[in-house]
Amino acid sequence: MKFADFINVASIKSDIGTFEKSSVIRELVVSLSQSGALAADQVEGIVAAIMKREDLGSTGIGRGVAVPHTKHASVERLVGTVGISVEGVDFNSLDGDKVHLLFLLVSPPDRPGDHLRALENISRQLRDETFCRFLKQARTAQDIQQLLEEADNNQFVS
Amino acid sequence: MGSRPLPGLPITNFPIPTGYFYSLPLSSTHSRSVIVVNPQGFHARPAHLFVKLAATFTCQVEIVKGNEVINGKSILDLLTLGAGNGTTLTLRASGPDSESAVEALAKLIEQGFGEMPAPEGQT
Repeated sequence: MKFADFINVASIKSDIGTFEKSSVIRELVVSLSQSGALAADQVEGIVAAIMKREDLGSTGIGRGVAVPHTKHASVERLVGTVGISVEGVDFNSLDGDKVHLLFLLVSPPDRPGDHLRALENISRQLRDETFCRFLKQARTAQDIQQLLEEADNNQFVS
Repeated sequence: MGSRPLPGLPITNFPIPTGYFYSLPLSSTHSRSVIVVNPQGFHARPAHLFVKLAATFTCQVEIVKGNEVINGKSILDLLTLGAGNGTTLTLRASGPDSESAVEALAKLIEQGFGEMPAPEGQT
């Protein structure tokens, strides 16, 4: 699976304007809804479901990266977006580091395989330090989009 | 014969018991194969639980899948395996508490990370 298969590029946020976990998640979900990837009347339910999932254990996966996510019956295919926080968000990650890079995913309840493959793709690409650093340094949505495309073309694969 | 110096070693004045080399506790390594049994596979929450448990042991923990070897104390590394339901993994640990680490971590996987009876839960 490639980034292009699940990242909705129109909703990418290069500078999340808020530092609190739940507001950051809300901002990304709203962005997905504004670009048409999620229904506007589902935003509240999806934010609540993602926060409920965070209560089970942080989705911070180390290296300043988090993958907040949920299953939701309102989507027919896996959709996701990317957000970057220059200041960093406190995500209660196991390594204690603040999160600068977020991949938010919403998947249909009956497709656990797609969700797993998206996580696999994200983590494989981010294991490359250059890609991870470039992404955190990106300051426009276009830069992020271009980096994801380059990763899809195996330009960073380790 | 117990006090005879062993070949290749400096001559010592104290007796070295027969079988010295065989009982020497060198680096202790343990490994075990496990199958991922929970329906959702090794997604973010199981990876979090695994790393949290692995961190309570001092030994090094590795997971082998096919010809890939990853650090069992890194969530990011664990997620690169994309280990779905039914995947066979080998847990490998080396260090003083490696035996109990392998036992505890294998048990966590074999019990399905507590996700077994939850058909409608959030992931």
